[in-house]
Amino acid sequence: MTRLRAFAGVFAVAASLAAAGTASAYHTRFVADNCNYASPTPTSYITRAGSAAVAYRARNEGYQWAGGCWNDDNVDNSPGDATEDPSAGGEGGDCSGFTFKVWRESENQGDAGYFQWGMLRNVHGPYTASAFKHGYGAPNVTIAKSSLAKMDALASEGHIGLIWEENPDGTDQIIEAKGEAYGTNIWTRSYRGSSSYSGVRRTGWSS
Amino acid sequence: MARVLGGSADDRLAVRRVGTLGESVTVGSASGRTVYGCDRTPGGRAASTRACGEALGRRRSGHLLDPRLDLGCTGADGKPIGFAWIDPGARTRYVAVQVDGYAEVYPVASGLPVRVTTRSVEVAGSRASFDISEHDAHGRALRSYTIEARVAS
Repeated sequence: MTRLRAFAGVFAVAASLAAAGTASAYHTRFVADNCNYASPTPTSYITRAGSAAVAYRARNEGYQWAGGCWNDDNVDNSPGDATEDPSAGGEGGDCSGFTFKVWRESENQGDAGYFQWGMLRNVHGPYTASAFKHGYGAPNVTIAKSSLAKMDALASEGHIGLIWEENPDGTDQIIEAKGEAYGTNIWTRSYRGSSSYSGVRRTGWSS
Repeated sequence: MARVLGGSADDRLAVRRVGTLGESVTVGSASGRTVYGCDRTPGGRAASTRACGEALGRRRSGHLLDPRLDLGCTGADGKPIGFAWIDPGARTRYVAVQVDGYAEVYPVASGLPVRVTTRSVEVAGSRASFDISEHDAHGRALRSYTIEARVAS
């Protein structure tokens, strides 16, 4: 009986450790085999059309928690990555990493300048969806939903998506890295009508 | 130091923790499925805000899916300070985190994860590491480990 209790105790600790850890048995080679850590290219301006082009190329390229690296072959090269596991190493960004790259932001939160990151540059940036929602960081400001334009964002405490087009019925076409089961794409969403979502803008658009 | 701030009408509990690098408030939802955190340090922030960082954590089977690293805060010296949650084990009564050569010890309170701080921040890479030890009610060490956390959605 004593041995059984001891075993049960050890098992409970092991189970607790396993549950508390973030490691997963599933990993892919996409990041390891394809992505780089090259320096970004500073630019002197940012346009909504230019950022839209960056965003559009991420469509169908998958989703990776804490990720930010994708190619442009219109295929999720690492489907079924473990959810919320940054070590899975799969293709795609998560919602905040996708936004960071599209908005050409700096890893330095005090810098509002413009930085062009390569598609295969693995970078997430320092902002969570919550940070974007509250306008943290020099390049991010909160704005009224009525002022939103293409490539502005709607953000909640746990998610952020970019305006692609406003629909006549008050919904929006949102381009977003939605989740592992969905990937990155454009969907019609009612985020604008939800009190959980706020408007966010990247500063300094020249057009 | 940890202080339970009490429940609201929907039975949410909040725990405020004050350390040498900063302070945080962790609020647990009535359902137990989410926790919300507000972080604050002596460093700069927007004039209209009290917090320099916020976090939303999702729990499954009582455990956080992600430590929810936040890098929005800075110390009085302007250098970044990372905040993240530690999910204590069932027997853990104290969580200790190594900071600047000493250990900050926080009691586990109200079944909520423990929000801790670190100066071990890697800005390029948006990640931070936390050296943690967990202790039982008598202070005996249960386990020690390092968490390498990354900013994620």
